[in-house]
Amino acid sequence: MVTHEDVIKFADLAKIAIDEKQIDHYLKSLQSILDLAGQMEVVDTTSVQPVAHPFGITQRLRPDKITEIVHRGDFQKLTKHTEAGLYCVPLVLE
Amino acid sequence: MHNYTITELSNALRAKKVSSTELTQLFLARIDKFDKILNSFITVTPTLALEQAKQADLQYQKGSAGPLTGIPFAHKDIFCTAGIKTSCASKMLDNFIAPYDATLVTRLNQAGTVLLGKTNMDEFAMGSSNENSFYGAVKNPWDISRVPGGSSGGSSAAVAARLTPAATGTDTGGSIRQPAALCNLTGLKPTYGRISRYGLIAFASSLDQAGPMTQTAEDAALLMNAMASFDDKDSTSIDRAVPNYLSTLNDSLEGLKIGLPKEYFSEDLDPKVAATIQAAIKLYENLGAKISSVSLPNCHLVIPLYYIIASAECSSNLARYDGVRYGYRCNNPTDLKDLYERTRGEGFGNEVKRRLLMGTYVLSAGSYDAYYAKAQKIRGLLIQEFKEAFQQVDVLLGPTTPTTAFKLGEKVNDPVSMYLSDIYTIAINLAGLPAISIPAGFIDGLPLGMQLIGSPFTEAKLLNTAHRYQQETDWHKKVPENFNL
Repeated sequence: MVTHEDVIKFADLAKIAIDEKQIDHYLKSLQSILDLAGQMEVVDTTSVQPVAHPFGITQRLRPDKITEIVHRGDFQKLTKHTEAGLYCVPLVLE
Repeated sequence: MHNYTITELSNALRAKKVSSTELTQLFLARIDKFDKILNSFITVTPTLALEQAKQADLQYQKGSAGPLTGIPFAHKDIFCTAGIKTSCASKMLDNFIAPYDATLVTRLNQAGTVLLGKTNMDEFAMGSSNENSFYGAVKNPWDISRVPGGSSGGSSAAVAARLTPAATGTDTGGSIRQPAALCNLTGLKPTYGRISRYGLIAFASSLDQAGPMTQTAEDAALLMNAMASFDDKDSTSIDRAVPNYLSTLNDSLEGLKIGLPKEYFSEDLDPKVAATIQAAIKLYENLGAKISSVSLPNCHLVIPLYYIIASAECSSNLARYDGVRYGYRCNNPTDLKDLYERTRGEGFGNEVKRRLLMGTYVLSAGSYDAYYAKAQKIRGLLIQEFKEAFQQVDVLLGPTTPTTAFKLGEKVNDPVSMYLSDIYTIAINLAGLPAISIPAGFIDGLPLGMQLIGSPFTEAKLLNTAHRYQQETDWHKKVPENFNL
């Protein structure tokens, strides 16, 4: 069972601010999905490996050579919160 | 001419019966006239469209035009289009101007298509009704009190109302096929890895796939010839030769083995839906196909499997939206944690937040094995069931959706009920398979789609099977009356 405190904990992990008034709403819908997920328990998967790719393909690698150019100037046009090539955020440490 | 397929428009352009500029003006005028009713576009790009049309007309004059040159087109607003707002229908990206083109966009630009605009969708592709958009719900042109389906609802509504001859969509759990079915279109979800995901804003990386939404299978084949490719910028792109999807469209269906998953035809299936699909099966028998029953014993688990896996993947993919480098940022954050939390709390809609919470939970310590790892194991069993089915048959057939289009607002307060509208489509994404939905008839004036499913990289066979059906029927030619003006 998902609890009120669980929703607060998941919201903290997911870094999403949720209004106290919305917690019960999310709790009910999460629980209904998890109730459906309970059907999985009866399936025997003891000798089954989890799937990472539907066709069992492994990650393609490339030579360890620099191929990209720095696009910082273009990308930093996407926000006004930059200074001296850095992104500005609230102070983390005094 | 607004009812012409891409194939017909291409012939008309080549025969100089119309110019690309005239066509583009026609569709821009239709968007201007009708989209205030449908809300199918987020951004319309008239200046760009007319410039591209002008260039296309020059190519026709020089004799260097290809089959898609000068064809007006729309992209779902999930594809990055350089210099153009790309929002994923979210407040989080309301101010985002993509700095690059998705590979899919580049390929269709190189093929000469003319961009009319970016279509509405469920926020970050999470939804089955296009009611989750920051820019408002999209209406179904067949009945504007009903949903067009989702998440590619804007593309679907726009093509159905002939505001564009075709559009792109994406499909993570049915988001091309389900809206295609609800709007009387042909919608193809290719094999996972067939079309590049570079520049396709990620929802669930092991499930997402782009595809065409068109009036006909022939048009889908024409678009696939341009869209499908290996792309080394997409680490999940599969390097496999792309056939000419047009060359086998008219192949005979004599001896084609069609399997009917018995779980898709249970006594829970609406009798009118069952009857419509049975009529299509009969037609395939008349074309020489052999029909048999197959079984997918674990397909009843697809809803929890999908919502665990897709939510887990999206919780990882959407972690990038933190208000730091682009997109929405909350006002006056007190500290870094407040910046992240309020940006994400204010920037995301309710369905997105629901799935992020779900994904965070199933990946958390103590839950990972019971939910995420378990789901990925059952996914393996489901993939094996499809493999065994395809040892007996060439193609699977069933309804695309359990019902025709439902009313706006009908399912917004019951997420599980909403999720169940994807019951027939989701398994295909979990298994990475190709599938197409095509119009199969009408129930009480609303369109119903039929789904054909293939083994990996059999898009050509699916398009052929769909095309031969469309040569014998005219469901796909019907246009909603109020937009056929």
